[in-house]
Amino acid sequence: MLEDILSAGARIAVPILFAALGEMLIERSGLLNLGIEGIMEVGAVTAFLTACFTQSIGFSLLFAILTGLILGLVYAYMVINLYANQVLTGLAIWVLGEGIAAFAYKVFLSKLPSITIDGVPRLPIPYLEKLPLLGGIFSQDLFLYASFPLIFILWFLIYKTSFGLAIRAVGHRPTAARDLGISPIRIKYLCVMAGVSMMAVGGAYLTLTITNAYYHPTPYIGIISLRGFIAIIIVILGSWHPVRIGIAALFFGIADATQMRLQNLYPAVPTYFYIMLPYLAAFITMVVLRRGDKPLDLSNAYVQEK
Amino acid sequence: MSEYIVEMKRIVKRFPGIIANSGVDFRAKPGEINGLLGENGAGKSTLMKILYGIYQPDEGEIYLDGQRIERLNPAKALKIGIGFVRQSIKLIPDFTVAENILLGYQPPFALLNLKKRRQDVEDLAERYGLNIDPDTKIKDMELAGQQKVEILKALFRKVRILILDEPTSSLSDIETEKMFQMIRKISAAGVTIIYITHKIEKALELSNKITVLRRGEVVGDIPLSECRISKEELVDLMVGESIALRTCKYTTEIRKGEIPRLRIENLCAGSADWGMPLKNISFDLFDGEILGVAGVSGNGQKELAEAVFGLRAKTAGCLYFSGEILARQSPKEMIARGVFYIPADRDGEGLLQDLSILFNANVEVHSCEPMASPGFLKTFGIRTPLFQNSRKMKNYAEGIILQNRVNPPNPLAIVKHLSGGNAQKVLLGKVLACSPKLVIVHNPTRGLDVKSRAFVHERLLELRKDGKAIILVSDDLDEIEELSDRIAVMYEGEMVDIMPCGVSRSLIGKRIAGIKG
Amino acid sequence: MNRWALVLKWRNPIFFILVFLAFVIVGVFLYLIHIDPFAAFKALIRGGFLTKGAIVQTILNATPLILTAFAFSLPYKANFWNIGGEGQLFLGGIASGWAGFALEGLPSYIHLPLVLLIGFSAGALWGLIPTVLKTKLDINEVLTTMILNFIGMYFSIYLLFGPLGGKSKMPFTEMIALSARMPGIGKVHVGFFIAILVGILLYLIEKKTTFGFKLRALKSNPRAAEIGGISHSRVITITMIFGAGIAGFAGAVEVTGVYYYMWDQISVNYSFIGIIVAFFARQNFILIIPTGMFIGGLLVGGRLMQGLSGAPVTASVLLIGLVMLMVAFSQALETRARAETGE
Repeated sequence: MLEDILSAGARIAVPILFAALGEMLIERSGLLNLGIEGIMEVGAVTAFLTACFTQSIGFSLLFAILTGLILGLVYAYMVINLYANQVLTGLAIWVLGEGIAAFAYKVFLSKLPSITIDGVPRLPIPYLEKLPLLGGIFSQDLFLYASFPLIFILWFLIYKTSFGLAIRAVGHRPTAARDLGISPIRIKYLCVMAGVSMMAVGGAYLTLTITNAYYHPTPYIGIISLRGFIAIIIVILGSWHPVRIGIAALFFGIADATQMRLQNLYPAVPTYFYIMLPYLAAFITMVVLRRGDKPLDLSNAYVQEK
Repeated sequence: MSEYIVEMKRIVKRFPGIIANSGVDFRAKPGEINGLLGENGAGKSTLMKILYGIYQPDEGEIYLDGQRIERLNPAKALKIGIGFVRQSIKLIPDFTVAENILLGYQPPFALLNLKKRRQDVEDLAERYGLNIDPDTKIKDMELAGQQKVEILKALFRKVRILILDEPTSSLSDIETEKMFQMIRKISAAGVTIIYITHKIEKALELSNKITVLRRGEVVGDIPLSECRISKEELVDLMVGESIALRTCKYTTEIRKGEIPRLRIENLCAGSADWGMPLKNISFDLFDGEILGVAGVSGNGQKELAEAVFGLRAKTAGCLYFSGEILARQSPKEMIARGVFYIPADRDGEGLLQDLSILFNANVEVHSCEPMASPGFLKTFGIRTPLFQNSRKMKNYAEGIILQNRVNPPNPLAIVKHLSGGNAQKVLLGKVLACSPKLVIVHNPTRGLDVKSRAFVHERLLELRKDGKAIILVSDDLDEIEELSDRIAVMYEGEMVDIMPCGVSRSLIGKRIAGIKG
Repeated sequence: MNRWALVLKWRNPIFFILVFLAFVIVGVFLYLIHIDPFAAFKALIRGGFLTKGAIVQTILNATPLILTAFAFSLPYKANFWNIGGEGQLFLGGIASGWAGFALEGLPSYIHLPLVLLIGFSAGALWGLIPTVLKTKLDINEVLTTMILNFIGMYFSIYLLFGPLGGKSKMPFTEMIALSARMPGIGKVHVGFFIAILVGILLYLIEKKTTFGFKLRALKSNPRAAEIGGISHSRVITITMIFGAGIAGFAGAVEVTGVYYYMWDQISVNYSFIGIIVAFFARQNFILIIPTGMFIGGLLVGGRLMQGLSGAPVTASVLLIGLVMLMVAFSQALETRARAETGE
């Protein structure tokens, strides 16, 4: 069963991971985006609907990213050009995303050829899948495999390239960066676009792989079930570092998987207590670490000088 | 081909209320060390900020290697070879030295290759005699070290002109000597250096040429290879003639037996990475006197004011108010005792810009005596009333407007729309109306027109006549001379001298410039 | 440059135009799926505001929205972002739920106020955590309040499944005693009227007391206010005690006035919508009341819209989302306009 938990945990972790990595990138450039939930939701529903109509994973992803980008650009324009309040705008994007997703689903529901889709196929890796404990992780789909290089690419980008240095500088002291010829506005836009794309893909992954369906139980909570907000916590737990975020996401995924199985086996165990614990851990981490690598300028509006 | 690497011609720069540069000509030869001297508000920093593209000149031209340069900004300036190391450090605290130096240096997707670059940085540092570990984080470094990083940043990009704004403040003598050696080495490597300072002795030691600015104009342009000039002559150029009209009435008799309103003993505050740390400040302040605090801004004046008022935590020393020791200070407590602070930055720190005169006038009032709550509430320790009494507040505001001749005389006028003079009158007036026992005032007449300035001075003198104590911190030597009973000079975070009024301007100038004796 | 001055001058009309635009966009979408938008909107208004049953439902939904809007707005006026209303509400709910059934036997004029007070205190205590972290350690309150939401929620739900839960394994507490239930007119419980009173009280405090004066000064320029002797930390602490307390009170109101027990669906993100209500109403305590009722009506009407006109419920969610975006957008325009002209 442990192997089962590990593999399920890894799968559950992927959407959160993508979202957290996307948010990390955005926060690194100094912006706080609380609308992750809405963007993921939109990505999820778009991917699902596209998959139902086209049966093509590629198109599903493409459209998911496109819709995510639309929401992302709205956010970016408001926050970067109009100096909008980042908390408020993020929350508004969240509700808007829920609305769009729920509405779109309802509208197209009757027209769908089928309400489940084939989803992303699994590609077990020949020898590794036979490994005792970790084998489950190696008989997954392409996305999960892609998470590892993604983490690596982001790590490399942020810490080993000049561009990453610029992003970090913009997140700490945009005026200093500007005086050295870097355009904070351009960097923020780029980070937002890349970040929301990742979030949309995370949402898409959820429908395409884990559930192979879509649902929107209550008006304000869809398939994403607050994972978008969990992503924010993961970013803090991982102190804005790609690898640590990966570990934190995996940890959450495993905790989630464990909790689900335990609930079936031992109904008497206070599951919600355990659900609460990771958040408590995140909170304590945040208080103790204080800053970690937190971008100093997070959520301040960067006022352009003429 | 010009023999000068940089020429600035007929530069004029105006700010609301003052003309910072008034037809300034400045030029430098390649490899020369130029000292730019002047006291507060002379225009030295402004001039260099224009050269670096932080400000745009209203009139005048800039030439680099004989070519005209226009619409400069810091990024562009750096690219064409001008570097600026200023007092407000623009480094990223969480980054290491190497990361700060490399920021923006390479094209975006280039590999950072820190290992190799790190070595480059270390080599560069060694070449100029700097002792810096490229892996240290900026936030773990002292201000002096951070300055060196800024210099390295410029040198790494192979600047041809390096502007240094007060590089040796907060440096010990040994460190200053090291800095000088480094500057000489850089100059020997062909870099032109422009070095802003108020320390005359150091400037004489180091420079090839000295330019003196006073009140936005060039008053002296002295190539030291050709002319000799003494310290005293330079001081006179810097501070000019005294125009103080008031005859000094201070008697040198020490006030025996009188308890000073404020006694400061060995006050230390701040640390090397935040402003100018104060070192062992001690002085007494008596009722009915104005203690002027002079000095080039940045030598600890603001820190002193803030430390006394409780805005800044002290690290050592004792304060006594009316003979009682002050254990804990906070603005709220000081106001309760009758001590008030009028900050220099009236827009940013003194007034609530988007609110009315009425509102602003009543801020302290809720803590100070006149509007305090009726007696029975006081027994419960409630000093301020619970409800806003709008009639009382309005009367109070109107009283202040009247007393201080504020224009427009409308209590509902928004402060943002007032002229500088009127805003200052509101700021001053609301404090004075609280019957303060001690007032700390910083640059009360900065940017004011002649009439307003005179009015402010009048009110301060009134206060003094009433037997109140005043600490007057000012960048304006005329003001200090006109108003003070005693003149203290701040230099490098220390109060280097307290002189009675009536001493020569020259002497004050010397102390400001750090010349002892 | 002048266009920003125009934007500033016309900011109120622009606001209403944008909100109207939200309706128009939704109308267009409805039209595209062959639903008569006018019928849908009529149904929305009817379902939310025009029938007696609708008004009752609207009021019931509006009460927690109004209260959580207060909970956000009060600390906001001291420059403190309290987005932890949800957690504070849950804890208020669970504490009062417990007090509702555990303290049986008390006369109702003691029991009910006590229960409400306990709910308030639970919220206030929970709100003190991020407050202390901010005033003593300068830790950003957006992140702390956000995480504490989850901790508060899950802790309450844990208690519901566990010690404080009823005999069934479902996340409900016992029904609370009769003495702890709110009186009311029909289904409209007295909590609604208390909310109105609270709003009026807060408004008066803001305008008439010295505390309100200090709030305005701090909002305008914290540094200058500090130099004038106003202690920022003290003011933040007071606003949070009351703000978070009001959120806890909202939870208690739901328990004692609507459900008569505490359960895990006590709040469907009321507190986040409450934040939007607060901004919509420009942080004006009196305006929050009608705004809360308006949004509450949209929520209720939205649920009923389908039956009356065939428009899907989700259209109302879309509408509310768009409205919120428009609110944020108009605020953003105003911010930029001020930045461009005020300098």
